[in-house]
Amino acid sequence: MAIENAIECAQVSKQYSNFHLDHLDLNVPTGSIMGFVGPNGAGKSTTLRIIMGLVHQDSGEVTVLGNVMPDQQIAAKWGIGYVSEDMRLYPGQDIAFHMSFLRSVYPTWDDTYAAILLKRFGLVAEQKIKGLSHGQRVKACLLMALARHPRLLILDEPTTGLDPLARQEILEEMSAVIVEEDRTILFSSHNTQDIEQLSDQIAFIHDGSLLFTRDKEDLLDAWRRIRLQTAENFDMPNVPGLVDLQRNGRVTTLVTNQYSQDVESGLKHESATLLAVERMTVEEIFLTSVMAKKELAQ
Amino acid sequence: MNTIVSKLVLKDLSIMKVPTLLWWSCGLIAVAIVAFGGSTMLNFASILFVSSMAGAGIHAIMRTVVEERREQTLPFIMSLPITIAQYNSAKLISNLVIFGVVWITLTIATYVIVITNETLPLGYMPFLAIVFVGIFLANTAILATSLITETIGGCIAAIIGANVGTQMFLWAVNGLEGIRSTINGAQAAWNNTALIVLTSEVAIIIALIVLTYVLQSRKKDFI
Repeated sequence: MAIENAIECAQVSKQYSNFHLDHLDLNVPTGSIMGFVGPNGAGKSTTLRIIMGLVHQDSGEVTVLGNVMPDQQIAAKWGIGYVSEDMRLYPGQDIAFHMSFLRSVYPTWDDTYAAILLKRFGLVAEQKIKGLSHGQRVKACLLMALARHPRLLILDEPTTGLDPLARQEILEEMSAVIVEEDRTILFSSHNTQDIEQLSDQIAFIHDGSLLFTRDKEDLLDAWRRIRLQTAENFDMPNVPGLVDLQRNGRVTTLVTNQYSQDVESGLKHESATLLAVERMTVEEIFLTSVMAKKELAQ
Repeated sequence: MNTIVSKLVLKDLSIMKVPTLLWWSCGLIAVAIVAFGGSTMLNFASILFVSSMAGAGIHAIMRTVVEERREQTLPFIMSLPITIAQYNSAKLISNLVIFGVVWITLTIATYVIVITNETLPLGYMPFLAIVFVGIFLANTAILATSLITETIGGCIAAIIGANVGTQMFLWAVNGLEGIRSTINGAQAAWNNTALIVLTSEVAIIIALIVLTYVLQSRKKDFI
């Protein structure tokens, strides 16, 4: 039976001495590609490690592929391919050693697919891991995760530390392998461009709290930056979903997360001229959300 | 043995096969020196012998336990369908097997030398058994500390502690009447003193292994 959500986190908390993951609720629908966005130290890796069963939550419930974590982590991990920024393969061994080891562990290991990925990633099975560049190491880790045909792929900042060319190569390869199979992907990054390129769902996390989760297209459609030229005494009408409002002389800039034609219509006024209605990038949306949250907290 | 644990053990054995073979060869050379070199080379051979045995154990611990975390291969292993308890079982088993193979073969070789060499008194045999089991105990203590602390500092402290502790222990054992009075005898005297010391060593080894497993299995954050 198909599971509605590959990952379900309900009220998950984890306390460290200098960090608190605060009652996180996160559902990743089966078959989706969710980008998990947040700055360094926001709680992305902690969340993914809890999902993997590598770190145990203090409270809350985590279910992965229908298995309760961390108690049923073995059953869950059979279906998960995990690659993290801090993951390394054995430096003194070659790629073939790792492939052979994983073949012995996973009955689902696919030698043909592994060979295809080796070629696509420009890797040679006899290459020692310590002789690989960082980009090649990331590709090797991806190969190890993909060739076992996981139902769920969890990628924790895989593009961190890569030069722009290697990063683009990795993203292109990931895009290619993503479309080949129907699998759920949870992909964390502090680089919103990566997220925007790959994801169809986006979750924002900041300072241990989930800001929101949304379909990427809906998110991009709902957020607008609107610039108006207004009279000095212009009385701003009620704008649905107003997140930010800045006045600079006669120019007023506002951001809404509930944009529709009605918002534009509502702003039409004899003492206001609509200068621009701009779509926002994921990065701009994220930054605006964080600033709004900070202002609310103050 | 659980299938996934056996895969992890085999993986560690594969990684350690060349260095273990080299340490094992050094130990056999030491035994050969004693067998064919006579008493003049005994001191050199003894140092080489103990170094080979210690080297095999410590090398395996450093490579398979300490470096696993330092080289960040731990996330790769822990992403496999295993629990923390299974990971620790695999580490305990692989290290005990690696050291055990070297330990048992060198121990047997030494006993063959003692039994066949007419210049060496058979009274040495119980004391040698205490020494060999003591070396096994020291290696187990280093393994346990390294697994629990997961740091290179913890491992080094354990090595120093085990080295000093073993020397003091053997010095104390050598002072026991039941050992001192029989060590140069023509026959091996497996008396109560020797058996109590040996049993205590084995009990501590078992306790260390169980304690390590229990403590490690209770950890909630492993990465």
